[in-house]
Amino acid sequence: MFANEGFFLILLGFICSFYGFVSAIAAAFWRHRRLYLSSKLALTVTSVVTVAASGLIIYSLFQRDYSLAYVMKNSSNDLPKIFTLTAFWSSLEGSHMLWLTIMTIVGTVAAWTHSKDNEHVMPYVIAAIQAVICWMLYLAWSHSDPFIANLPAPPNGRGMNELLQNPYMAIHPPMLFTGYSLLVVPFAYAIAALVYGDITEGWLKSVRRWTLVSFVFLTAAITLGGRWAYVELGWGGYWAWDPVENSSFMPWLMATALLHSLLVQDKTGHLKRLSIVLAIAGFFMTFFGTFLTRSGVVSSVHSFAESPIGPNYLIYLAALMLISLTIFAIRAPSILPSDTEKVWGVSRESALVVTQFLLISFGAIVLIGTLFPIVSEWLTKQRISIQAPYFNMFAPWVGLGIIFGIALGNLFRYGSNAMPNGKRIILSAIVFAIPCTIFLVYFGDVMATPTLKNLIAQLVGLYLATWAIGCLIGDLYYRFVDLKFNYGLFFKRNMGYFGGWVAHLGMMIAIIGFMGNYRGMEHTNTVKAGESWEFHGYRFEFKAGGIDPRQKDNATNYTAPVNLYRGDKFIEELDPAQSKYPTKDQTFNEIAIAGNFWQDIYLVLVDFDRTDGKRATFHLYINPTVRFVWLAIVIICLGGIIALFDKYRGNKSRDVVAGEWETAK
Amino acid sequence: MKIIHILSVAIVWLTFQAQTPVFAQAPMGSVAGSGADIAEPGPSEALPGEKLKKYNTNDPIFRDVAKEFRCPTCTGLSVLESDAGFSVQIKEQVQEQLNLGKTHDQIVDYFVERYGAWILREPPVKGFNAWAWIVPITLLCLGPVLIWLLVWKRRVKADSHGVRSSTVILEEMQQNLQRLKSTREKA
Repeated sequence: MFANEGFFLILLGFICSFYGFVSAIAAAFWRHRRLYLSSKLALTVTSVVTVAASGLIIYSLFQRDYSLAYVMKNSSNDLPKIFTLTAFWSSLEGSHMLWLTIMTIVGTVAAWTHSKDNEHVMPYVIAAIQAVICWMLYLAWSHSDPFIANLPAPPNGRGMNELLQNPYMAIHPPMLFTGYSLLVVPFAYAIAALVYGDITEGWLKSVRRWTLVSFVFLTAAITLGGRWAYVELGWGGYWAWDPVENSSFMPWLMATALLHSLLVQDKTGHLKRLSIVLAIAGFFMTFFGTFLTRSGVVSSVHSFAESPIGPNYLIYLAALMLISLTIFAIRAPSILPSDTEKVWGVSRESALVVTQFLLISFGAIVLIGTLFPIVSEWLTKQRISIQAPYFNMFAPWVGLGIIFGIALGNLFRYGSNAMPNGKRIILSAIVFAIPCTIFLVYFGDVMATPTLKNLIAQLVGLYLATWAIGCLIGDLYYRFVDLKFNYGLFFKRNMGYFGGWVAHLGMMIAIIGFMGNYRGMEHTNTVKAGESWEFHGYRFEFKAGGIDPRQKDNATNYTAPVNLYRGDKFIEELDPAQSKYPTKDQTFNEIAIAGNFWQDIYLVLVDFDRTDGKRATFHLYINPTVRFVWLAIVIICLGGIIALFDKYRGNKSRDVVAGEWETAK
Repeated sequence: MKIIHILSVAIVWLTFQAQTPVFAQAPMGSVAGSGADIAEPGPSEALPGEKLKKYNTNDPIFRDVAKEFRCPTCTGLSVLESDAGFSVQIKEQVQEQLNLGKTHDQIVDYFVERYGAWILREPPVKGFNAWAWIVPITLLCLGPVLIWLLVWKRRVKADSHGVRSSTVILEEMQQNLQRLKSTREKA
């Protein structure tokens, strides 16, 4: 019904953003104020147009208007309301449109809310954002058009991908695309700084704020994706180093590295060029990851979104890389070195450089692991796979570096190798870590680890992580002591530090949570109805009633009710199921998760007797400390949000001389 | 030179670390004769009189082997973690082979011969594929050294305006003081 109107809107947006791009460059060149305002308005109009186009898709989805091919392919009459909305981003064209819409909104907000200090670079910022939006709109009408008509309209659609009919998948994509889109602002500011030829305090403040928001969104989105995999895919884990996961992880690593390099830049004025490179790299990774997963170069779980837009992405990425590199090569020397004299030596900024190194090299390892099969196939004509074991070999070493970096780095001070109270903090943390480790080992049931190698890795890891927590607490305590426990003053002046402190604490808790992967247990059992089996102190009883079909929204869940006992004590009923959707013959896992803070009991119904439902096969996983990871991520996000309330950082001076606008004669 | 020596030792050691899954242990019970007897699902136990071991899906030895292979139809998972059709077939084959008395390495070789190195979750560390390990390990080992050489050791003597740094001035003053002291002592 709206095929033509939608296409028109996208085309209008494309023309608008192209005009905005050209006018922003012209405004920058002639320093023409009214042209600059016009480019800002063009960006605003673009965002209104894309919002309207997205609105049309959502309206069509709710109208069950199958005359649109996208609606026909991704929804059906039986789809519940919430998933009718999320069907919008359940496939390639729609998620591209969602990303585009969020990016135009972010661009518009960035254009109208910039600080006065940045007025002189804004035309470049807008030009960079518009260039990206323009390309995305081009793709939206050429290769990824959500408004392709499908006439005559069939009475029912093909239905939404069943794996995506999950609340976590409903919020994961918007969060991820918001995180991705927010990275366009640091990128645009980086390009603007290069073209303008200087970095100012105002620049730093804006980039820090946008990167921080992006960091929070990316952290939350990646975890929601992991949570989705955990509750929906049924293999007992949340992170498989799948190319899709890697491609969302790499921008996160770059954004995190950028946050740390901005810190050095703020305090000492150094690492300006590294900040620029990281801002560009983080943004590049968002599209690079999308290219990897969408083009089918690396086949992946998300291959349902394959399409012929691959070559277009490749050209775009090459152009992006080439243009950014050229601008960098020509203009980077014009970024003045820092005024502050600096002896790097052993100091907080050196510790931050080590952090950069760890984050960037981890990013490089993830990139190598993801791309290596492609390169190898291309060069040696032999197909190979690189999967989790490869990444799991390197991750602990990087984690070790991160633990030491967080524990010791925070104790240093800027510009000096003195470590006030350092010895006392480190030594008391060494003592503090002993009872903590014993506590974790006892309640986490660490000694039950089957292999000695894993046991030692866990004991060392847990000890070091709790030691790092001890160091963090000690550092905070002595900061309070320095301020004579004037908490009001502390929280007024140090929200940036405190946010970082909370995020680092969360990181350590996450590492403690990751250790649980070393001692996970699993067990497969085939039992008849009424029978029970025991594992790891628990007793599972497959109820005598056998398989029980239950209706839930549009799906029929063939549920196998299992009573869980610890000793003789009944704990709860677990309902693992196989769900059957009306649009597909296939069935899907519905996992039952029970347990407590220390371990998840994760039960999958693998198969059941389809004739009488009196016999079923179960996969049982005991996953320790998974909930630590979820908790840790909440803490990390909280830390990021706290850091956003910092009023002082990056606000030291207003030494900017914004160029005067030429008024049109 | 010493650093390079230590690094090369570290690289070799880590490379062997990477290989350890391939060297994992052989089945505990050696099997005599009764290959035709294919295991039914049930607890694994040695039958009295014979050293026969039946491998069901919960057996650690079976799991060690199954962990090595990728699920052909999904990405990111091993056949052990997957219940896709192909994975189930491979798991059954692994069980059969174990019951025939084949060792871990023999089974891995058998599958590599049939499906190519692609079936392994990590390629064997040799030939071109070794670069997948050499590059990150070199990066992780050489990176800190490079940072040390390029950043930490570089002391800025003067800032961008040509003003000497206070540490340099302080050092010079100290030297002058020493010189004055020594001349005075001589006198």
